[in-house]
Amino acid sequence: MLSDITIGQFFPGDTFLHRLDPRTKLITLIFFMVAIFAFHTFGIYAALTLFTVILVFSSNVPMGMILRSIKPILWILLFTFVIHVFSTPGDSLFRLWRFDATLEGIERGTFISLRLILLIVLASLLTFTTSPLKLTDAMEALLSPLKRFGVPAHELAMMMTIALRFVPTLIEETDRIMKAQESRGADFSEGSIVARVRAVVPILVPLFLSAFRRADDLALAMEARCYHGGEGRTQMKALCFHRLDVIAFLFTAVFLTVLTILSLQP
Amino acid sequence: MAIELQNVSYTYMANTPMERQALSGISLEIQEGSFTAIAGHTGSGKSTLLQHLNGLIHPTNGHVLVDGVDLQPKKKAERRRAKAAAQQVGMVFQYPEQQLFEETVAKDIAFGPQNLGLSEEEIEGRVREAMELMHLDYATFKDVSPFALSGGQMRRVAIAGMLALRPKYLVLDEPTAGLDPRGRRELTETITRLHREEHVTILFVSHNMDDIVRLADRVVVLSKGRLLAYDTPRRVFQQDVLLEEAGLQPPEAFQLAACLREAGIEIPVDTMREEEVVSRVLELFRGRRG
Amino acid sequence: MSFITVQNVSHIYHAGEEQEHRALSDISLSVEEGEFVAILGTNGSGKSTLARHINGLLLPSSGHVLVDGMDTQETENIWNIRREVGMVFQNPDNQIIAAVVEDDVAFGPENIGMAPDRIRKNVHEALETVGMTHFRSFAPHLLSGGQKQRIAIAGALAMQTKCLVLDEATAMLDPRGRQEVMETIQRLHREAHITILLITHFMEEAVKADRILVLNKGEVFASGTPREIFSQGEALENIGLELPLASRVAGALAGQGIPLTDTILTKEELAAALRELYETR
Repeated sequence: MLSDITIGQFFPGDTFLHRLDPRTKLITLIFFMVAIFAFHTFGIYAALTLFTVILVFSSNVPMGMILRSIKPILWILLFTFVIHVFSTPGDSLFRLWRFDATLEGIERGTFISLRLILLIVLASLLTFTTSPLKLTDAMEALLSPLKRFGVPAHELAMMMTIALRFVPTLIEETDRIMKAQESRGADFSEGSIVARVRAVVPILVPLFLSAFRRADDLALAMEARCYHGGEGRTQMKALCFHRLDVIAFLFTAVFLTVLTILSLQP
Repeated sequence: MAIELQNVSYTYMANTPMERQALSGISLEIQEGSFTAIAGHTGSGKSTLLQHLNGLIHPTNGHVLVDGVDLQPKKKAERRRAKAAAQQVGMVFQYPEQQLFEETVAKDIAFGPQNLGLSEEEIEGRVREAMELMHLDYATFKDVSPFALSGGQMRRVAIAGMLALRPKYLVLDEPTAGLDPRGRRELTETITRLHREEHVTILFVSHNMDDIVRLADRVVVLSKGRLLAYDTPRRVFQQDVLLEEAGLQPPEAFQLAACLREAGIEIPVDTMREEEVVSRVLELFRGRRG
Repeated sequence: MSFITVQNVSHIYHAGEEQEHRALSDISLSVEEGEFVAILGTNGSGKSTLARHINGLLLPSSGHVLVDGMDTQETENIWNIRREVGMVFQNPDNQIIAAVVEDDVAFGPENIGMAPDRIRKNVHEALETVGMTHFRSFAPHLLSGGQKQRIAIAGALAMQTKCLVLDEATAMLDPRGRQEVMETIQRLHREAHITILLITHFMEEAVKADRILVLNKGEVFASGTPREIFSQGEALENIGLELPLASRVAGALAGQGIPLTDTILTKEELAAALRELYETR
């Protein structure tokens, strides 16, 4: 269901995850993502998983939300798992038609699925605990060295802010339009592929029109409030690193170094 | 024949931390031929209730029956019947003009009948009929893009799109919201005529208590997902405690009458329509003269 | 010198194209500092077009708009004008930019490069003024329509606006939300002497203004106190407007021979006038 899409939602709070500078969160997240891709042993995955679980609990984000963030990729998870179980060569556990399920396959499938889950959960934690505006401020700050190469850092960040702000609104809107067309006898669940694609037109047209209208309104409102790009703009909550951020960076460095050393052990 | 709600409860996001009970234990029966208003403060459960009436959502507990058919059948074989019953209830959402999508007015109105799988002639007939009912001249508007029309006209096209399905019950969620005074008046007249002349059963949500007194013969008052009252507007609006609980203001005309009574103009307590205020004040003055 | 002066302004959309449309024709008017003006007119009368001229979102095709002595056509004035004239639009959902209330209120001050300390102070005061301090860290989609509009007002106040233009800002609200917004702007007008331009379809709101301006087909149809305007019942009805309830009832009674001579605007006035007649009989 559409209401299952949780990305872009923010849970205001006052945990240490909320207090960290968004730049710290963004940078350490990137390091952890690299680590998740780089390591392949169970021990290290156990450590990363434990770490993620601790973060989840200390974030005060409702557990249900975390689970729902995984829900949209459930089918992808299942699919990759099954593919790996049957396509990895090794000792056959049982045979299904002409494919062998192998122990190595199960191991590999679990790895890949866990990897995806960890990625999604960590990324969701970032958006759950960081207000979108702060997140885009962080993006802008991290991208701003690229400004001299012509990268429009501020504009990109602003686009992100608005996109994130309107995700819940547009989800609601889609739901409403679908229900309106359903009330006029439209059926989105039956028929051939062609019929189903055609059934989408009565949803997409109003949705796009409404999105354009909102964009128009928003542009006007922003202009009325003196928006004229990043130049000469100040920030109420200017980003600044605190002790907590230093601790987070140190922790990340030590944690990942230890994991690297462990993974190099034979 | 009627729409019946039997002990309907609905919970959003059941079994999650964001679980929220939107409706609790609502039972009521909306008779065919009636003109019923639904009143309640924002968040009282009005929209959730409406969506139950044509099976867009099904109750977490309880049943919704349209002309005796449960909209959520237990057996697969009954699904077709349930769907047909649900189609007796035409649903016009808030700002319905936002659902328009076709190139021409006629094509947009034809969307519903096409989904029913009717023949071309039948569809054209229905489009023509629906447009007439909504006071849209067929020849003038059929080939016009709906997006070139004024807000009020677009809304008429959207409602015509619903009427083309020939529903027995027409549900409208704040049909006059956002229109200017003339638009509000004209649309209200059209809806009243649909009820009076075409015998369409009307259910409408409104924040305007004066409209409710003027138009409806029954009013459903919701508050926090519960049914506070289901009675004639005249009886409901005389109960200040109930209105307060529902977060509603009595009709303007009723407030005006109350103000006059306070000044010693003794018109009856149940005066709550504009014409009544006028006629009763006149009676009083003439009575005194005579 | 008036705070806002509109001199012979015409505005033509899509000039020279097939769908050319004259939204304002040769309008002149002025608004004094601290005045509360309601603007009435049916859809298509040019109300919104006029509103958007006041802070330079639209520029006149011909004529001039002066705000606090600054011409909107001179580009170097535009940010000062927009800072002095705050706008609140119709759809509460489409004017909130940030995902947290206080960040949104800070958006305007940030754009004009205010110092962070001052922004914090202004945001705090603005939220206090509209009574939304408690909601400062809320996500906007959790607020009611009336609350969202109050946030939009706070966003203008935080820029230390002198004038608020409300473009049908109550049209999409429920009665409680409308009341919240009306009480807020009446208080701002009374206590902070902010100039108010209120565009509305609700006559009961217009009655609260010092002056009403009626637009019809891009022209000023009438201008005067609510009493002067609502004494022209028939003329207003002809252009698609209506009278407040008390005025309508008074009109109907007068038509039936009750000698109500003065124009009646509110239920209290009607009660007082009828009492007098009733007692003297």
